[in-house]
Amino acid sequence: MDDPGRNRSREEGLAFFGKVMAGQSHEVTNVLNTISELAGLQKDLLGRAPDGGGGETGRIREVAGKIQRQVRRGQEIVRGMNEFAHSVDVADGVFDLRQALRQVAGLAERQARLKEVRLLAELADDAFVVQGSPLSLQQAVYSLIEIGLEAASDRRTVTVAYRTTAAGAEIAMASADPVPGRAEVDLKLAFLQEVLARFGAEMATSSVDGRVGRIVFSFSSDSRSGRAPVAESGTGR
Amino acid sequence: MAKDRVLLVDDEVEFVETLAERLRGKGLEVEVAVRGDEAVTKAGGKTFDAVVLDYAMPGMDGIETLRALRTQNPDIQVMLLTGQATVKATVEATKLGAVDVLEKPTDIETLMEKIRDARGKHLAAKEQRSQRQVDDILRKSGW
Repeated sequence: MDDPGRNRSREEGLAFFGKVMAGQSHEVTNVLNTISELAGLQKDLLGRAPDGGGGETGRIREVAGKIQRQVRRGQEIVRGMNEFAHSVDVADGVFDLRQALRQVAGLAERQARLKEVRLLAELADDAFVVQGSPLSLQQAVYSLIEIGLEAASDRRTVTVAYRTTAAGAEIAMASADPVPGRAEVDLKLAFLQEVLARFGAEMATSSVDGRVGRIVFSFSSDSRSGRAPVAESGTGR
Repeated sequence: MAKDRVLLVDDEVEFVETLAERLRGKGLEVEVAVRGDEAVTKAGGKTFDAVVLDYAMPGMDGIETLRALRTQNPDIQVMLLTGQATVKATVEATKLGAVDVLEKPTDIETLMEKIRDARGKHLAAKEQRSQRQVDDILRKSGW
């Protein structure tokens, strides 16, 4: 049985962590913005140089451009970190499923890159609002992507797609390499079932020869209010 | 033609001084404030075509500074520069009369274009105010 005191302590701990991370990421962003302006000033000054920017000045100008490109890359990463840090601002809130997937796909890019797997996020345009813990859902979607990445061999593609349906919305992960049935995968799938139940959502997998090729999270319109299906006990929220 | 006059307000000293130097290099007349109260004092003593104001600052934050600037001079054109242009920040700033909310980093050419637009709006606001004053005088004189 859940201990309310422990849950609250965990939530407060997460909120603290998120607040500090959000603050620190703002600080890093300030540094990056300053570096970017300094590199921009360098280019401006070189553009006014007597030799018109050729020779060594041309090379310095090129380096300033590279600095600005890396800074833009850093700014994007920090923006993602900051958004993620804010996901623990509320333990139970209303948020857009599409945005949550976009965010998590961005965060999982690094893992995909290290595995030399292409992670493709296909997002339909329309939003779908759910109620619950944004962090829990992001964790579930990240685990979903991880399952696909771990199974994928080099230079393969893992696709995670979001779309709305007549009944609600879906997030589906498909991998060119099916996921082998293993105890740790089963544990992860069980965890995902538990998290999705809190959103009144369901999970379905399609397998061939005991290997999972596709995993789909389905959110019904009931998920909008955070109501679990009638058969569920409604605990954990 | 007179130069665009801009007041940059940001507590990140190195950032705001570098941005000021870049804008001066491109022909603008630029002053800098590193605190909200300093910005209000400077704007009280001089006319600026635009104020570029940071959202998150110690002491008077961007919203409080915006409010004070607009109370001091309703014609002042203020754009907010924020690290995270949330819906809340945008709505708050717009309600207080900010002409734009820009997300950092902003490309310098875009910023200059926004400053030029703000100058146009500032001149139009001044003209309208003058016209209203003239109309008022004429009405009171029975013309």
